[in-house]
Amino acid sequence: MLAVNGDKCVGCGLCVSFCPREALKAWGLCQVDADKCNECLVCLDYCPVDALAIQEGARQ
Amino acid sequence: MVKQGKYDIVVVGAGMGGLCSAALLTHYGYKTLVLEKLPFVGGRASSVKYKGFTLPTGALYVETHGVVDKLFQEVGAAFPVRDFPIQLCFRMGGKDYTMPLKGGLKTVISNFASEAEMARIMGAIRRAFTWQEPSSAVSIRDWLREYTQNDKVLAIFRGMSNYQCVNFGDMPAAEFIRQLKFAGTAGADPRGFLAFMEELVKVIKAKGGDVRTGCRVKRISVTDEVANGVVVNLPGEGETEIPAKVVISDVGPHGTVDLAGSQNFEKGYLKEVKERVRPLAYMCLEIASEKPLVDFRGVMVVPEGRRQMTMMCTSLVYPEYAPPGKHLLQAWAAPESSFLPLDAKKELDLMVQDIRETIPGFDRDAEILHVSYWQKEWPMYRAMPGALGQKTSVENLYNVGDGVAPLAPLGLPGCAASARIVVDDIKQRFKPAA
Repeated sequence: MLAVNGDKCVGCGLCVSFCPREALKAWGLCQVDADKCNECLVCLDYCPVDALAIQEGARQ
Repeated sequence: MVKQGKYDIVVVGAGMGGLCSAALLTHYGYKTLVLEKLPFVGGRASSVKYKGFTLPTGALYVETHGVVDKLFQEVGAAFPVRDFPIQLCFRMGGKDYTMPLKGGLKTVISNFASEAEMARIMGAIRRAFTWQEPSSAVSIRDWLREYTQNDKVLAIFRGMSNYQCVNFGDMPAAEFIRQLKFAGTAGADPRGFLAFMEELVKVIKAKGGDVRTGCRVKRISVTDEVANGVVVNLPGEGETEIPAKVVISDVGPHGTVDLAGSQNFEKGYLKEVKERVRPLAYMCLEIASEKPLVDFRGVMVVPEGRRQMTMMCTSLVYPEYAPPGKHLLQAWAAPESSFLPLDAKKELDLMVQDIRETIPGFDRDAEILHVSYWQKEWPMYRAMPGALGQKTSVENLYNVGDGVAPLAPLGLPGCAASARIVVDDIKQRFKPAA
């Protein structure tokens, strides 16, 4: 599943703007709503600090 | 590995510094390629569309009648910026104090200070303007405390420091005075900053250069302390080597070192980067409402809260930024320290408490639309102006952008000025390939 690297994430909120499913929120740090996220991974392209990644053992 | 392209210059990063560099270089005949890892140009000087609103990715406004519009004019780019009323209004103790455009500082201070106190403060400011700038070793807060202990007066300066996006206690006194001297007109593109930055892309492409987004530079190639190109992942083409005579990096000095490899730099240079290039944190809340939450058509300064805060009902000036029937308020604030790592969530919580107390009926009438926090690798500013020069210790490798801005107005003008310095140096050293 989509995971946020808390050391890298700056809370800029760019991913929030581009998520087509409103699955991301930012309040200091980015948070993923796993129920809404369908792992389209658009957010990975828009994260300026490479803080988003698919975690090992990803949900199918 | 595929090898392609014959470029004089490769620019890494399509932020303000990178695009200004490329626009000047292509204008003067250099074959230039800009590579940007994000899918859009502008970096922290861009904008996104969100729920019908136009929201900035960083920069809120750009100076007009200065280094930026001069550069746009020189390269033939449109500069579709509409000035906004730069008038400030201080909301203090439940009352609003509008700052007149002339003699404004004195007028606002006079609401709170005796004549003798006024003379002392304004005397210090006059000396800082006409005799010598105060030391950079002290903050504007600590410098002012030598002249006044008046909390209201200090709050006015606290608010003005926040207008420059720097915490009062972290803004060097000399820099604050310099920014006061630079103060001029400002505005924004009614279409948003993305469209503004795309004006530079248009001229770069029209003159034979190229700007490619979604292209991640993996490394800057260095041989015997001389930069000679980049290795980049091109979509659909894979890892590609692009040779160039000169590499300009707009990813910040720390990012440049990472891309080129620290082993290729002199130790003294690495020490300067580490010690001097300190990113500044800042935060912004974008708030939607049906009616304007602030009726002042300018910048509202709220300096006495838990956090120093500034706000503007942007849609009163740029109705294009909000969908029909909606308004957009942007509130921005410095955290407790611009430099120290802080709990961003806590900082935002405190800021919202300030907004609630400043805007009656906030919870009933407003919706927090979007939240931005800038820090670390995506900061408000990568460093204070004058922190570091544009040349690196690797030959033919330059930095541009706000990490290496010269003494200039903070933000975009500093980025443009850094590009100007780099391009002037390149013009002295190389002729464009025929």
